Amino acid sequence: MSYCELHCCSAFSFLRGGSFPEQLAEVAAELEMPAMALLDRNGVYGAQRFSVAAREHGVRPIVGAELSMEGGSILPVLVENRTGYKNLCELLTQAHLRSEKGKCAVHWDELPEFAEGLVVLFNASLANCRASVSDANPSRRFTETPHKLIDVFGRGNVFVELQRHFIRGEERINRQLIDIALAHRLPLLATNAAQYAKPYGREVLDVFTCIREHTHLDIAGKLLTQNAERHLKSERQMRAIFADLPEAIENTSRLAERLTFSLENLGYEFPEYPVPAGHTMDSFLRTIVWFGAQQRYAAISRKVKRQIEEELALISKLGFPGYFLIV
Amino acid sequence: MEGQMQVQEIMAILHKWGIHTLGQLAALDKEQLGARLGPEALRMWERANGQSNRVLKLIRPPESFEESFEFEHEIATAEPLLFMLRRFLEQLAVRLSAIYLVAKELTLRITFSNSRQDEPAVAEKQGYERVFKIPQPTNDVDLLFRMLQTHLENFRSEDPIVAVALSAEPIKPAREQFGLFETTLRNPQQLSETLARLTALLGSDRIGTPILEETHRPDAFRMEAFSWAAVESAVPSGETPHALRTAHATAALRRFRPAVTASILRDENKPAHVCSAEIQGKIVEKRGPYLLSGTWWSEKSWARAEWDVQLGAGELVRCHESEGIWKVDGVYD
Repeated sequence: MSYCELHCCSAFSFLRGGSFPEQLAEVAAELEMPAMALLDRNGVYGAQRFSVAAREHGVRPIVGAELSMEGGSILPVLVENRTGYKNLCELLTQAHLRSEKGKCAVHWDELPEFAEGLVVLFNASLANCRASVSDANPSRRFTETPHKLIDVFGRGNVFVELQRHFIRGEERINRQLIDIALAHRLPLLATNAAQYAKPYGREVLDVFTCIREHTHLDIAGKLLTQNAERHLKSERQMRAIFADLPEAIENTSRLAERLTFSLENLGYEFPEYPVPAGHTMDSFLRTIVWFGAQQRYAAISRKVKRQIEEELALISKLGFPGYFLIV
Repeated sequence: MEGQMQVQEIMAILHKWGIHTLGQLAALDKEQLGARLGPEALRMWERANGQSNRVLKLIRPPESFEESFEFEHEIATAEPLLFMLRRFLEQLAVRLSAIYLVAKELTLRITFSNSRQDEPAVAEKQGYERVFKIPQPTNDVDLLFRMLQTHLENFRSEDPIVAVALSAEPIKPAREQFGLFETTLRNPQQLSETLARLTALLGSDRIGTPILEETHRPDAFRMEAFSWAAVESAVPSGETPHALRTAHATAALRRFRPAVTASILRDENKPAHVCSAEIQGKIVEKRGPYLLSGTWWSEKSWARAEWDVQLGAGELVRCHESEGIWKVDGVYD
């Protein structure tokens, strides 16, 4: 089974990603990745460009987002189906509408309403989500948050995400995450949480970090990244890094196969127009059109009649009666 | 400027009227003049009649505490230079004491003559400048002279000296009253002298207070000028010094400073045996590599791969590889 990167953000995650979606898709194809997920921060901004580029390069695009939760933690979610995409978009819209620009935060208690069709990754960031669990003890928070996620999303839709960036201290967190996965019978998922396509993208990301933090490189210090390991990695590299946990690699392609949603056949559904009882939108539009025609032409000619019928048939066929009724 | 312009305009009008002297102006009717030419003309009339006067403002040029001397003949030894510097210090001390000030900083400027062999007519002058910060501002000539003498003991120049200048930065003398149990420097002058001697011996970049730098580079620090006050407030009571805190500290690391160069035998690209002046033995357990890099935007860019290894004897050691060179950073307690 191949490795699929299921946690990656593009430059559309404002000042948090160092590569354009097209670059990510191109490198994913170079690395012979069968599928890849783009999770931009608090939005699906790069999803369309990524989907087009990925399909051009023969990589199956997967849609998702990183949600900023109240309390400061980040919840990565992946879209499984059309319902999931609708839920994700509604959740993001609600969060953005009530927040100041750039300070969007999703409430934990609104997750159940929009959980259907979404898969979440439990990672180290969620260990610090104070709002999710009332207890301030970090070790309790660490163990209680997965309970909450399982209750909301269902056991089959929660994966424990492991990342290895060759940073001192990360293995201690990974061991805790593995213990949680064992205790809750949750599958492990290896990701590289990529923020750029190639290692040199780290330089762009460091500059972006300085812009975000209103500082400059010489004094940014520990705000900058420790190394250049958050790039897209090949299956061989990831298998070597997770040599002790092969199932974490294999689960990436298993999960990718499940996530069938694509923006390709999304189409557009116009909002419903309220029609009187006994009418459909098609029949109501037809009634209004004939009424209008009679007012406009004292006697409706055969030519006009044919034209109206043709137009109505086309509108009905394309599913646009709602649009014409609204405008 | 506006007033000056107005005066000139009034003068022009007066000249048109045929008024050319102060006597003619003084003879004019005050009220009539004021009604026609305004308040500035009234002030001019009053000055012409001796009824008002402008007070002169005394502006003192900023006092410069600088002494300099150009030698008639180029000098090549320290004695005449020190002789002149002592004289300068005595004069500066007298001048400063007269206005109740003390020196907080001395600036020494030495000018060399760099006569070219091929063009003897062209003498290119080069200079040397050195600022001495005085920890406890004073006018004590002996002390200040010792400070200069200590520095000049190790001063070498290939070119003869043609001129010397010494300037002092004045400050009001500090009046401090220490508490009964408060500790302070018993002899600040001696400290400053010791610091000056050490600076002369080691170089100014190798003496001071080490300050940990906010960077991912392990053990990176810079030297800041030694300050007695900083020592007192370095570690607030009840707090662990920042330098001792680490995010995941479970064992203390005793660092070798500088890190000890080591030779490492590798097995499948991982360290298998370490040999250095301090530590040697077979590696039985290892964690790593921990990859660190930074300052990629400048010539000071660095990258290293750190390993935590356990030796056969049970010692836990941190070592790293950078640019192909292995070093042992320290031993965990």
